[in-house]
Amino acid sequence: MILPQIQIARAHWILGALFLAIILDEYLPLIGGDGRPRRSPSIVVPWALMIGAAGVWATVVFADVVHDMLIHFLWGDILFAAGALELARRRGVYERPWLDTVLPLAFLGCGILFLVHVEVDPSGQGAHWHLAMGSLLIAGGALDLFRVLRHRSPVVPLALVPLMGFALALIAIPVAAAS
Amino acid sequence: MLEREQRPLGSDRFPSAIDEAASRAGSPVARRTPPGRSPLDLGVAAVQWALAHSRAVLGLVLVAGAGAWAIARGLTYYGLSPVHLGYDLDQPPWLLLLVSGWLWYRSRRR
Repeated sequence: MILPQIQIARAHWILGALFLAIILDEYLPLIGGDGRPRRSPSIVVPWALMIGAAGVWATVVFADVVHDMLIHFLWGDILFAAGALELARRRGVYERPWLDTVLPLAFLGCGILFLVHVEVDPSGQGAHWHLAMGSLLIAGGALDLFRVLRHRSPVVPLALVPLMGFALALIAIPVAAAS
Repeated sequence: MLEREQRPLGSDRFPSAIDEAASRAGSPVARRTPPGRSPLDLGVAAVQWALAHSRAVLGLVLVAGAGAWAIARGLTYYGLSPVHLGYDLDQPPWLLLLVSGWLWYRSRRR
């Protein structure tokens, strides 16, 4: 079954909006009952990552090109693994120091897969979009990994800027470029 | 692995790398505005306030962006049936409004 291009673009827009909601909820401080900002303790973020993974996996069924199937399958794997590990951490059922690096590494991994996508199909209509989105994800992942490893604690992490850029690019991707 | 009764609830806090700085930005010291402050101090205080309330600020920015996008590009009207309403609401400007609504909902004090 092959979906029309407009449906594929719609799926990208919805996943972009989901990703934007995830990263804003994760990285923007929350005003607590005492009037002071603190980080969101939400478990919505890992659940949203896993729902996003299911959406990306659906592409494996609907894609008509082998490399699209493979890349989207790996994206879904990374998102699901990151969501499951984050959920375990936030529920307190699995606590290891390296779990702090799960989200940045997931962003980095997904960004690298975008570049692989471009490398496999450099003449595709969405190649420039994929290149930009992959670069933004890699920048966001690298900045957040640096923050985690250096134990930095800014109010709003710098990684939010490229990650927001990625989410907005996914929401704004033209119908012809979505694949 | 923690026992069930020892596990924090979903609404409980978990350790975070940005907690300390976030608390500093919204602390009473940061929010105090003594008389006779220079414009620079007021600017710094405004930036600190915007950072501490960044959810509401970004929510407003998203609403403005969605409005500008809808005006510049137009929104296609599909119809009133449930399927068509789904098509109407998954257009990019509407999606930005939905994210903004989510952000405002999550920015309320708890």
